[in-house]
Amino acid sequence: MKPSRRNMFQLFTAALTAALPLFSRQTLGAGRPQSRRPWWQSLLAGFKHPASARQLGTWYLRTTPGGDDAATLVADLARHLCQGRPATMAGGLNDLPLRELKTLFRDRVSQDFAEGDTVEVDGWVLARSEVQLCALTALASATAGSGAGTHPGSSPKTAQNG
Amino acid sequence: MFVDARSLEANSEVTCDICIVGAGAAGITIAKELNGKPIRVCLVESGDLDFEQDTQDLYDGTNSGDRYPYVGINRLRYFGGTTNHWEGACVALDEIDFEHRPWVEHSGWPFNKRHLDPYYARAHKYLELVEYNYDVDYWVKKSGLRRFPIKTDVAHMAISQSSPPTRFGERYRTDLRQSGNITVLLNANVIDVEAAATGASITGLRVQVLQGAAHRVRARLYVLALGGIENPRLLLASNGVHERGLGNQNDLVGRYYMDHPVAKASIYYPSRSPADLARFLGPRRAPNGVVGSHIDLPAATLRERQLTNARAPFVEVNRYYASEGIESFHALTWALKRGEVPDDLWRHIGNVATDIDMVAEAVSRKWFDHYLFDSAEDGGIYVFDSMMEQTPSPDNRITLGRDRDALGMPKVNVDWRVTARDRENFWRVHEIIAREVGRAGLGRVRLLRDQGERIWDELLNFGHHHMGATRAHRNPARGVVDADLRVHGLANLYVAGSSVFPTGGHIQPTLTIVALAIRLADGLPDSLARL
Repeated sequence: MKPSRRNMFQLFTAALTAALPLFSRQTLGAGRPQSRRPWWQSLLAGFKHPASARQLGTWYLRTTPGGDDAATLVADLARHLCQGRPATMAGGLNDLPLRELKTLFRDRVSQDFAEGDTVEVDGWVLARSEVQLCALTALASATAGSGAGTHPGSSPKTAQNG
Repeated sequence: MFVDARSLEANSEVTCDICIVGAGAAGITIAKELNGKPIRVCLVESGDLDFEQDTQDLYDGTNSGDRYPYVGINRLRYFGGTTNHWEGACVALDEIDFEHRPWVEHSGWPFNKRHLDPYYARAHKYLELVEYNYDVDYWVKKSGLRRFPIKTDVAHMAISQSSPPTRFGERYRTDLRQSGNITVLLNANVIDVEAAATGASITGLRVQVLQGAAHRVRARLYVLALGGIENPRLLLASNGVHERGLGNQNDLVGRYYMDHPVAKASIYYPSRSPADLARFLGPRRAPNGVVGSHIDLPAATLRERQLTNARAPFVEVNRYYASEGIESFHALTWALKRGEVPDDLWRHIGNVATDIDMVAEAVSRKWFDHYLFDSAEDGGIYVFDSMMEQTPSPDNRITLGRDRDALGMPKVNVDWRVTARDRENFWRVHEIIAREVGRAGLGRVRLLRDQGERIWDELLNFGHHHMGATRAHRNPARGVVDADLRVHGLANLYVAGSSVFPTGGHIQPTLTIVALAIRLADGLPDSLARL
């Protein structure tokens, strides 16, 4: 059975809002440049309750025409995160230490809310960045479920080709 | 002095300088302000010192338009009026509420907030409030109330105060009883305000005792303080000289009626612990008083986004209230009634299944009036319980019906609706607050848009604040009373109470009613001298 909205949200916000401690330092190597995963997969790994994120992501994908392309989502989210930070963009998000990546994401979420760049998913008023990340989770899950064996967009190119 | 009209000989005539009709918050305040002055005052009250059903039944009336509470229950017709059961919440209107706002049709008071401030300060004493100060920092320091960490140009925390609540009929009874210049006439129903043949002034009031004798009150100056529905009712019914009723030469009496729609239309899922949140939730005891808090929108936001005013206190609700199973159960039955299949059918079925105990609780409560599970009362869930300003509309209207009450007075019909724009405004306010909550990292908010129609058709609540139906405006073509609250075109008839509000903001009206009553009372001796 699907998780209830209440549970879903509590876990979701725990992961994304209050959240930064939920990214496992051991798993992701906080404070060090991450080299093994693409940046967005590191953020995905921070979901304590991926099913909730997937459900929100699925709602978003269902109501956003053309929003189900992983490469586009990744590129869009990257642009969004680096908005006003061209140096970060140039350096590449993959080279950011996890702590900075988390801070960047948290600030972006806050900025989305401040700018009114929000998406309403089943009534939830959410920052566009966090919803896009949920959508990536949903896409990754769908791809895994279809037997592709890898997350879509482990690089944007792969996702595009896959 | 108190006089029971039932003890008067038939066809008695009571004379005075100023007659105040209605002993509620406004009427008693005006009488108190005139206490001890060299003016003979008569305060005429329909009821007795205590509640009596026969008298209360005189409030009977009908509703049309949107769902609206029965007009007979939310006000009280005896000495002290509706203060006999009010809850005591007090806030002053915002500065912007007094302004003409181009995006709010028919907005604008004939004076500004600064003009009313001294009267607000005096009104605080009547309502047994602490000092006239609504500064958040001041009360955070003084009361221990914690600042809800939203303080931006977009939304902010605001303060309200709580009256004990003052029951005017009890609190000020002795003062009026001992007064040398005030006569309180009880059980005296004013059924007609008689105009001179010229139509330019009032000559007397016809008074009727329920199942008893008729009398007359003659004064030099009259003040109607009957409440937001009875003021227009009596003006409309007093049509002996002016066929359309008193003050109604421009067909304005009864129009622009407003209330405060109230709805729990979004759920707040905090990232803070309940214990932490409890410190934001009022009311909290301050020295000599109680203060509470809510979130509202600053004038800059209202201007920039062209919104009507609104407030959003967040309150803890129980599991029963926030049940997704009950919500889905309603969505399913709502769709079935219309012969439709709801969107997300399986989600709704799943919600009902996983929350079946609360669905059973709802069925049991509704059909058997029986409570099943203690767990229904579990808390920890919060909602924004918003009260919104209603855009004044000439179509929201109090009219006289064909039915008559026990005294032969036509009963009222209240035609009240919430416009599509006001509904949209409501959601926009919730969106803004949801974004601010997210921005500040305080959690997330879910708007209950999927219950939209149900919220307006079934769940909507009300402030029970009756405003606007004898609105104030300097221009007689746009208002029933002028800036001094004198009925346009009548030299000696004034109106007190919330019926004169051109707009109602998002606040409980009692503080403003009392402030306006003090202001009116201050001017009455001079007005009397000029007659």
